[in-house]
Amino acid sequence: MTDLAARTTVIRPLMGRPSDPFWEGARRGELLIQRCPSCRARWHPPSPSCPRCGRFDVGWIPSSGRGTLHSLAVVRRAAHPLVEDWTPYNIALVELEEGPRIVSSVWCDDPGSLPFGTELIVDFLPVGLELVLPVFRPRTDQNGEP
Amino acid sequence: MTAASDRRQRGSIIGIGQTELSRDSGRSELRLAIEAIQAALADAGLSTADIDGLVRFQKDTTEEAHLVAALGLPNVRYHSQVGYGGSASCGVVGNAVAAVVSGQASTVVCYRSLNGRSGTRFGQGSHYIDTESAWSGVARSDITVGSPLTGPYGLLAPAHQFALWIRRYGHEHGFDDDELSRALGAVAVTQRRYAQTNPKAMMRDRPLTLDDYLAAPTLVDPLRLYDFCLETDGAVALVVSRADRARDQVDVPVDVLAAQQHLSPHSEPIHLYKRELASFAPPAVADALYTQAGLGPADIDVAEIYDASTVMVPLALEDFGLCPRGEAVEFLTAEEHGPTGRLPTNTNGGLLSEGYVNGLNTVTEAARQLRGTAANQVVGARHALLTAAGASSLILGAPE
Repeated sequence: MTDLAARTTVIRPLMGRPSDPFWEGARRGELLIQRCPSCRARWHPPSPSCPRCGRFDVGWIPSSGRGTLHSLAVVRRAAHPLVEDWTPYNIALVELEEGPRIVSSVWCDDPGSLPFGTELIVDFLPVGLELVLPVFRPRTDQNGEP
Repeated sequence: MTAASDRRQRGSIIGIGQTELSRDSGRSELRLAIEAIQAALADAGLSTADIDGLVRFQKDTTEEAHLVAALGLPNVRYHSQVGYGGSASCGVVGNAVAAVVSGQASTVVCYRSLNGRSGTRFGQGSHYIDTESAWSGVARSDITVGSPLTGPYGLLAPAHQFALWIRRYGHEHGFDDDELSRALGAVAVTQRRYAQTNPKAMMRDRPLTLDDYLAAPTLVDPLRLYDFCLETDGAVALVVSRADRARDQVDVPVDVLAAQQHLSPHSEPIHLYKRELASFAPPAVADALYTQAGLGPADIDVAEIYDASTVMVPLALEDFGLCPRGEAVEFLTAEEHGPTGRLPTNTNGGLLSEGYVNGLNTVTEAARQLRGTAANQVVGARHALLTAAGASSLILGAPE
């Protein structure tokens, strides 16, 4: 797997969308999810109202960045010329300890053989000058830090 | 014997039409739609003047108004669209039934027309992201493939989500990638065998063995080339009428015994954030479908399951109680979905090997099975279960 820093291509998120705060948070080193200040529900992807109690004054909070691997698949054939440089690469679903599930990627040796349920912690890797990608690494030491 | 009053509460499929399936139709999607509709009307013994309703896939580029003009339909009084790609394939029939039973229309055409190979290709990343230059692109899709939250990680094809589903399924039920591949390979190989005796199938002359399947390149672990549907140019149409009227219109109406649609948080578009990753729909969906039909899983003679990928077959079999939860891998590895198995499934070769008309060719195959005219006829088939990833489902019945 090519190191992110060595990637020569980037796929940026379209901005001007409800997901903007997620990417702005990543640039500050925060993994943001949405939270309802009233009933404290937490969810992802973002929504204009709380899916539990219906309030509109929803906000974003930083996740602890801890979670477990829910599913992972290694892509072996590029579905677009822009990812040929990355291939093989993995796409992972991570269940954050706050509850929400997010799409990400796991950064370690042989991610394809990582057991589901493995405890992970977020890391923030810059891709080019504009994008910081929240990715996950296995939690290996007693402090839970990579 | 069903009472006449019951038949007024039910719809029937009275005509089916299908163009040839190819890699390059050489004509427009509108033209293909017209051809399929004309074939379906001829099959039903009706003319264009009889059509007063149209139901289409939201994804179809052939708009109702264009069809009305092209076919010269004098009086369309009902039209609707069903969303979420192939998830509409059973839903369009359900919507047509709702129209004829409520009296909003009497004769409704459902259609799907696409140049899925020579035109827009849904399996390609370029369908979901904008390319700015040789080194950058923008993820702008509204579905979970190539969205601003997933595209930057390289989630650029439905194939990637199918792999995430089935690997989670394997984890939950204790199957490794090799065991999954033997079951999924059995889906691909058996459906190819059905296709070889289906003159309409794109892959009728292309045999496939399990060795061929296993030797094919992996696109995304554990899925190989043959785990994915074809890309097809073609169109399919069908005609729905009220079941009591259908008896006077055609000799062999196929009754819609149950029709359900399902949405739950994040179940569409192409689920990824939904709580259960290894299942399409909660048990209540299957329960409602069977209750509506007054039938149970043991009454189903043939299954026609939307198969954009092989992985959809085991998930659907379990969701609808056609095999016990966690046992689909054994069921498929034992070829129980084959012509001599417990439940012949995707008997036209499916979207994997007949062709990909976004699942509406799955519905016409079920209709042929219940008319007794299928290329791979299941002897004595009375009831067919159809589902498009749990998002829309049907039980169809042969006329009593």
